[in-house]
Amino acid sequence: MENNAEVLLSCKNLCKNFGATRALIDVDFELRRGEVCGLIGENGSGKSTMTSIFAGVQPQTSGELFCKGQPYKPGNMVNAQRHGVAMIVQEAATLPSIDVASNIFIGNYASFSKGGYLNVKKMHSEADRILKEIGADDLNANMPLSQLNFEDRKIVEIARAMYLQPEVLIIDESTTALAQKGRQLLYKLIDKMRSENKGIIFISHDLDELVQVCNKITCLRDGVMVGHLTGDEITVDNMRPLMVGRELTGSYYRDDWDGSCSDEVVLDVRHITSADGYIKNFSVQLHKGEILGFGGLAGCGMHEVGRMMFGLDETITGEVVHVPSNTKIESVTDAVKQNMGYVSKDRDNESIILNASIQSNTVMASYKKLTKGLFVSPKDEKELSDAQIKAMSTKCVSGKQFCSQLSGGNKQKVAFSKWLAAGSEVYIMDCPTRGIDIGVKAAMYQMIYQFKKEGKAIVMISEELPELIGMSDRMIIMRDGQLASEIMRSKTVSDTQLIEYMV
Amino acid sequence: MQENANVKSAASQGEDIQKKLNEAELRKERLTMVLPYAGIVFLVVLFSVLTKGKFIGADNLSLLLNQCYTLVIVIIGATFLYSMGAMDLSLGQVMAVSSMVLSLLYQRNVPLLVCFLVAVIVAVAFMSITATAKNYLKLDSFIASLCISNVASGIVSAVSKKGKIVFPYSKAPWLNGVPVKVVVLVVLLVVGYLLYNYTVLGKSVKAIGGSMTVARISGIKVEKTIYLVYLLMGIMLAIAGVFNVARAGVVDPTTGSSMNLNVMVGIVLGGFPLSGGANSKFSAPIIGALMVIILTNGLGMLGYASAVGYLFKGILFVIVIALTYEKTKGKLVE
Repeated sequence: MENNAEVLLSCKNLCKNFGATRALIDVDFELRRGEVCGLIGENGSGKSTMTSIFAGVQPQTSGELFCKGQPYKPGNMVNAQRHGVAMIVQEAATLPSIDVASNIFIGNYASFSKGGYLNVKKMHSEADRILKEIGADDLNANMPLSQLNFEDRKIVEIARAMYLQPEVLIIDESTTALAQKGRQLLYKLIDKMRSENKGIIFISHDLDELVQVCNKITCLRDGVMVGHLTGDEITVDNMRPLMVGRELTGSYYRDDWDGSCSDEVVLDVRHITSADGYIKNFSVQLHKGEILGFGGLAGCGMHEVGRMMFGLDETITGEVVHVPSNTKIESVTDAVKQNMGYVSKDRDNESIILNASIQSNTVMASYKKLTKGLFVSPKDEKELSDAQIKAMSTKCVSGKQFCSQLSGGNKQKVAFSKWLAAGSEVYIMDCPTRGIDIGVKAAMYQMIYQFKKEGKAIVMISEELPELIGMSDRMIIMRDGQLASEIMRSKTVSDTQLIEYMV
Repeated sequence: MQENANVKSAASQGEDIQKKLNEAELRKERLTMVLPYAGIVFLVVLFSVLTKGKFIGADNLSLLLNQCYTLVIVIIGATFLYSMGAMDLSLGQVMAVSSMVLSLLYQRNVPLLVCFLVAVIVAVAFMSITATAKNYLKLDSFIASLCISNVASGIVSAVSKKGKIVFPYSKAPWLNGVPVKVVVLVVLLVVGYLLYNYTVLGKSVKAIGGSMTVARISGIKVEKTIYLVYLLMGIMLAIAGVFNVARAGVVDPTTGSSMNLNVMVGIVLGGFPLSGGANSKFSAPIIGALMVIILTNGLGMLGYASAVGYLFKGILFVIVIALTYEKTKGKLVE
């Protein structure tokens, strides 16, 4: 399907370096009128970097940008909007302390002010009009943003992007924050813009969604533009190998359906109650060589159970016992002493120190092992860390590179290698594959399965049902802080069956 | 589906470019490492030329040693504190109280070693209060240190109102001798360096500065580390207090009053992030402190001790920080 419409936005030989990291390498790209272009690629492949350059968030290192055939140097987001390029960013980019209208028109107050006086009334009515236009009638211009939930804030961002009637809308992974209402709103918006012959760049990890919405797919891999898909070629099966760079062979999850494991109990959770009393009298046993999945809806308490198992959160009744050593786990120190490891859901705040090198992060739980006499040898530290980087094939320049420069998947690899380096035998993983692309995901699943075969015990808390069904030997479904159901590994378990127990 | 033809050629070209970028990064890193040292060398050469060699004469060198002595000892301890991101405004005042107790006891003919041990206990006790507030009251250590600072300086003021607190330094003149001072300083520097770079304490301190939550989850004993650091700080303050009072001869309410600011300036000038963290270097604050002292001394010798000197110092600070401070690797202040 050849599209000969006018080119709205394009770039030639676009390069972007962050220090020694090459985020974009000679990228050529075109967006024509009427195109909804899905931009895919693994984490760290340069999608967000590329779109943020288009939107004026940051300048490129080299290369040229064109907007409707003219050289285009946005400089900042407001100027990009004046050129008709608007972007809805990945992170929440609203200001919580001011009202909806002020958020929508931020940076453009001038159009409502006369001689230093801001016409608030006009601004509010204009905001209400825009909100109505995009189908968010339930939001009001004068609501303070702090009262809105995460999804509604995202909708405010959409309104902000739309009010200057952009010719090009860039949507960066926004739908992950949006539930059904927000998604429908966004899809409608995309449809409308397409029918008006405008252009859209859409970044998403949800490949099925892209198949539905896009009429063109462009793929980046390691900062290089590797290919396009158009028309009927747009299928999930075509996208995956393009992103990963090889055919994904074998099974994505583990390929056996044998849910057996040793009878030996490693961790015995006996009647624990959380400090707020939400989780009451909860008991479960984790066995050697078992992958114990935890599932449930938001607020079911599964994350908190994981934290209590690791001694991170207080329990007011009951106890968590590490059976082989017959010790109670009452604090993180106890847990680490018994070779337990915990991978947090909140990777950037609880799993790794962003402002520290890969090496510092990797050896952090292993100091006891590394200490000889009084001292820790830097050589041993480096050896341990380099071995982990190699084993996990973490993509980095060297162990000295800061974690803040790594992509999501690689950060998670560092989080894992910390416990691997420490020689942990019991792993509590809270959403281990959250925000990770399929290439790294597949590697993680293989690793977790390998752990099982080595006789390690794994608690895998997950919000993704296919992952739970695909990996667990046994699934604990929680609801309202209590055990709702326990399901053994079987080929016949389905998503819908689990959801029934959850709600 | 079309694979772009440039993928392969880009890969081989890419390696060269990647290599160059890595080298550029490495050069930049080396430069930021060398710059503070180069700054010191530059200042020394500059002042030596301007003062026709008087700056590096024996007289001035021993003066320099005296001027930077207590500050450097305090900074050895403060490096650990600031690595954890714990700003402390009570250092000078606690040093003053500690040396006050030392002087009062020594006046009464208590053996010097006993006086010193009591001084250590006093300093450590004050620092432990801050540590406890940080550990268990979950009070910001900055706030806690402000309170301690007031309490300590209040005590010194009250006691000195009753009469001058004199340290009978004629009884221990060796405390002011250059050999003793140099030996003590070298020992402290070596111990500090080893602790900071080659022990679990040093590693834990940096991890806590990076993220207390992550450090805790990684099994680092956060509370214990904090206590140990404040203990170390207390010991350093007591040692600094001894040498300070041995030189000054008296303890009065102004003792140590400029210490907190000088420590902070040293930390910042050395390119050390006030928020702490894993990229902190042991030598940085010391280099920073030396820079301040050399600058003050040199400008004084040239006759610019006052007005112009302050102006010049202020401008230089901004330039040095802008040049050496790497913004991507951590915020200066959180």
